[in-house]
Amino acid sequence: MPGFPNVRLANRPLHFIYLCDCSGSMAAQGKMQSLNQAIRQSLPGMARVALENPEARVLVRAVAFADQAHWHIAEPTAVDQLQWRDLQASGCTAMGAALQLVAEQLHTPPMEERALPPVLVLISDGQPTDDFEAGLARLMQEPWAQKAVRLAIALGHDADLEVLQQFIGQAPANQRERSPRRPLQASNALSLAQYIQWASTAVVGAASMPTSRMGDSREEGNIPLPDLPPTEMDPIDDVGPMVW
Amino acid sequence: MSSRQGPWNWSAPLHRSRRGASHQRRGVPCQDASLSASLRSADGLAVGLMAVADGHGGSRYWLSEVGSRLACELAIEHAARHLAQQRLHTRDSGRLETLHHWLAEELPEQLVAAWQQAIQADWQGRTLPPEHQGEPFSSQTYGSTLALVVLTPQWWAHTGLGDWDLVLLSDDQADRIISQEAGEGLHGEATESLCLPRASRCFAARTAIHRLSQPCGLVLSTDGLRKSCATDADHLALCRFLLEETQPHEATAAAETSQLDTSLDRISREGSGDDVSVAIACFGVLRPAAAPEPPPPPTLPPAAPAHLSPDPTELNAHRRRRLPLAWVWTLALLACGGVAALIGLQLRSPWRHTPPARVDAVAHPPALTANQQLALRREIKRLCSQPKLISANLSARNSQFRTTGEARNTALRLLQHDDWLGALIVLSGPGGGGLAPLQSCPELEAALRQHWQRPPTSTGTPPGSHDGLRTGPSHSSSPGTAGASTRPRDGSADR
Repeated sequence: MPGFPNVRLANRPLHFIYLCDCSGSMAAQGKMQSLNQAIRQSLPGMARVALENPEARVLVRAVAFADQAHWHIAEPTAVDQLQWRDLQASGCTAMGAALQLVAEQLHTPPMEERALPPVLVLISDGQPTDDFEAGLARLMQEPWAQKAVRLAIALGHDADLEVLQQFIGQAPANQRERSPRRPLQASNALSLAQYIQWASTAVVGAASMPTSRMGDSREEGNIPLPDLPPTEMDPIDDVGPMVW
Repeated sequence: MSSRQGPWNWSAPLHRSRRGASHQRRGVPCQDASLSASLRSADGLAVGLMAVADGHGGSRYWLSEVGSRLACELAIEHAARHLAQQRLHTRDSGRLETLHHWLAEELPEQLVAAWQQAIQADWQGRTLPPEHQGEPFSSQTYGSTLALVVLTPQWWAHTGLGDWDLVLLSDDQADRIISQEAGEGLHGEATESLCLPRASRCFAARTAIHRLSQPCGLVLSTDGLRKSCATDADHLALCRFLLEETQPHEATAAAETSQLDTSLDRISREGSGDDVSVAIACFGVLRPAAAPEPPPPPTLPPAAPAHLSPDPTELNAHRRRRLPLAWVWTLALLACGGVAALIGLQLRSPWRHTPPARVDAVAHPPALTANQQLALRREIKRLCSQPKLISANLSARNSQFRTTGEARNTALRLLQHDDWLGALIVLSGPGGGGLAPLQSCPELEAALRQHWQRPPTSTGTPPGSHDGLRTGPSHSSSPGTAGASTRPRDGSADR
């Protein structure tokens, strides 16, 4: 009887990448500070979800974009080892460059063949000031980007919802439906924190599960996404907790 | 056990399905199924059949363990019924083509129709749990993949749909994956499925007939096996191990099956956590595999904490952004003069949201240092070199255009933060001094004028209200603090 072979069994990497707008406008009204705080506060929950799903190896990276785009966290870092360094706001909104930067890392290799669909979270309060279309086209050339769970959080109402929707992909047909496949509009620090928490826990948990689905179910996105956080914190025009 | 000299026969196929580690932890049933059978054709040829199926899992496919079981049962039943009536003792190409057509076209149509009938019958006879009361029947609830392998001493064949893998092991060629899902047009964890409307047409791409001449082994598996391995090389080595572990299993079937279960459980536990199913058969006797090479290093290096290994480029950029403290204080003091001038102008003029006649109508602010002027000119040059992007740059700062009353509080901070675009906006607005001394371009001036002329969109909640998570002190005094902002009712950006 042969002994168990010397093969590498491995849980499946789940790459989680923040793409953070660090343009000068993010300094306004404490948006940058709120974003830093929301991400930092979400890490324990994310680590807990990772612990509950040992079949997935949650690895976090972050891109910051302003005048240019650069890796804020370049190495895929296990969430329990991650220490968030504050992003600083200054400059323009090189969102297209950020997408190109991420695209370069969504090859195989360095992406593992058996990785789970990556989760990309784009957070912005403004409009791209570079060639967004070219950046998005470059990103979507990568099969891993096509497979990715792409989420977008719009900070305040200056955010360009159209480009964020382009990043996410086709919106659900029902315009009134509340859906994570539309930009999530964070109007203040609390709703931003809720959306970040949701993306880093509920979405990570869903993306970690080894389930498959039938090929034509495009309406549910690349993975079935969990419900959004409660609606109480959504901006409600004149009576809601609108700040940004 | 077959002789090494031939003629050879297939071992009786063996199949196992094990609940994945993740499913065990969540209390989810095994959604995989597997089945095998042996029979004789009309002309007495020994025929083996083996099938595996992978129910999709997930809340939408909550009866997929039934769907996968029915898929295996029906595949074996229909294939056995047909093959038992055929004369299969042939290597004739025409006859094999007929068999190929049956596997690719006829059998799938029969199978999919029978599977649809079977799941409808299951649904009608089922008492739905409370959480699914009132739910209409949908074949998606039972969604599953399916793979079928037919074994004869002269040829073997496979068909099916979905993300299963079939590995061919032999002595004279390298072990290889002989059938796998192409994945073209599939996203995420998506796979072809029996519940697709076009399901029967998916089988053709996974159908092939192979002639036999040398000993070989086959390991058919659901995706849980392959996804548990770091690389395809590991997957092939694992399949070789599973085959050797279970051949010949006729003598001690119970012990071998127990051993196989232990191995499959370990694979799921240390790997993908998914359910794992295998069906295994061996034609003749394979030589034992050579001692495996040590595995190559992992594709990705071990993740290091980001704070311990920052990107040097990023670090340098960060350092460049960081001004020495003395410089900050100097700039702050110099800027204070400018701010005082701005305050004076602002107090004298009740102007708000009314455009200036020209953006360069006011004298050059005296507080700008040479370095700041240089940086502002550089920013103007950057903007003017790409006129098409000016509007997008300014639209990203709409809140600043709405908050001129806060200019006196923001100018100093904008300069301190090297936010040159923000500073240009303030300077171009009421009380800002204008851009003429900074050598602007007409396109930028026109765009700034246009943005200043826009009426305020709305009024809103004061800054800082309902701001439960903020604990830092600076947000209320950040640049561009909005005194007025509400979400447009249609949810679109304010441009």
